[in-house]
Amino acid sequence: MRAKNFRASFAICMKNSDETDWTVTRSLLRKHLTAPRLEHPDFVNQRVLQELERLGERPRASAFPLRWLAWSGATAIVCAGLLTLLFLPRDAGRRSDKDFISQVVSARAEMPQLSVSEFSVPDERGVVIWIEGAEYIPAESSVR
Amino acid sequence: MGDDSEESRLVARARNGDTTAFDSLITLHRDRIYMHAFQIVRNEEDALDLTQEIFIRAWKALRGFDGTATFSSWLHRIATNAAIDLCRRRRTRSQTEIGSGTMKIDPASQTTPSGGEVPGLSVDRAEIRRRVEEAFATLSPEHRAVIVLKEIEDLSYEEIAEHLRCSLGTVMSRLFYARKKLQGLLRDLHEEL
Repeated sequence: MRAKNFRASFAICMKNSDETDWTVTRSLLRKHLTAPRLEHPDFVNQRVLQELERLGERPRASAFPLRWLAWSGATAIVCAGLLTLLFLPRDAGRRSDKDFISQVVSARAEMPQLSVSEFSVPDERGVVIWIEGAEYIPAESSVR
Repeated sequence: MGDDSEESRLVARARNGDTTAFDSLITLHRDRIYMHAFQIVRNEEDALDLTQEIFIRAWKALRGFDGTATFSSWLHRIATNAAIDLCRRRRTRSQTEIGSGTMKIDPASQTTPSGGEVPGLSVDRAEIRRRVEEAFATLSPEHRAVIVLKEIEDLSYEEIAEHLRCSLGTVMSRLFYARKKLQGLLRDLHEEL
């Protein structure tokens, strides 16, 4: 019991001693950590205003506020829709499916084991000759 | 009250880009901001540069000032953060340049008015001041800031937490460690008082 009381009072003493200790340290700080006065105060105004002029800046809102982002998002969507409607071709210039289908114009081969088909595409940009059944084409054979 | 409304008007005008109004705001706050910055960085040249930087930062962020706090405390918050940033940069630079262990002490004592002291005593006072400056310089920038805000500018824990945008527990913990360190470094000076 006595030991317990002693420990408690010792703790209180230590706490008080710490507080006293800190009060002294605090007064040391307050006494010696002083700040000098600003010697040429107008110099600060001048330099700041010069810098602002140089930057050419106005006070600005926080970068990309939520409202600004929402509005710019909505505007971008509307613009994209308008551009799509205006510039994306719909029916004009659309070609019919048959324009893309090639047709067999002739299929004739001198050798019976060969089958030769000639296809023509509508724009007449080229002719594809399809040969089947030949491992090679003999030099004397001709496809007409 | 009148000053507050005058200040509010100046802030409103400055928010709209009126540099004349901002000039008046600088004039109103420059001394206190300089002294506050100096308390943390402990160097006149740095404090002067920092004061300019603080006002430029304030101008840029003025549209974000919502008026929930006073303009003065908003400005002080910017000042504290700018001072902490500068101390961090200085600390990093000095660590890379000099290496760990050594600490450069700014001769701030020369800048403080002496007040015509007794010559024999002023030597002792100068020595004590040097020791206090030296001890303060060993603190981290965050610890310096809480010591200045609590012990020199008498802000409450809540105000400091709001000022530094950290929790009350963080403020208390920083203050505890900073006090402990200063007490340890300055204990032998207690007899001098």
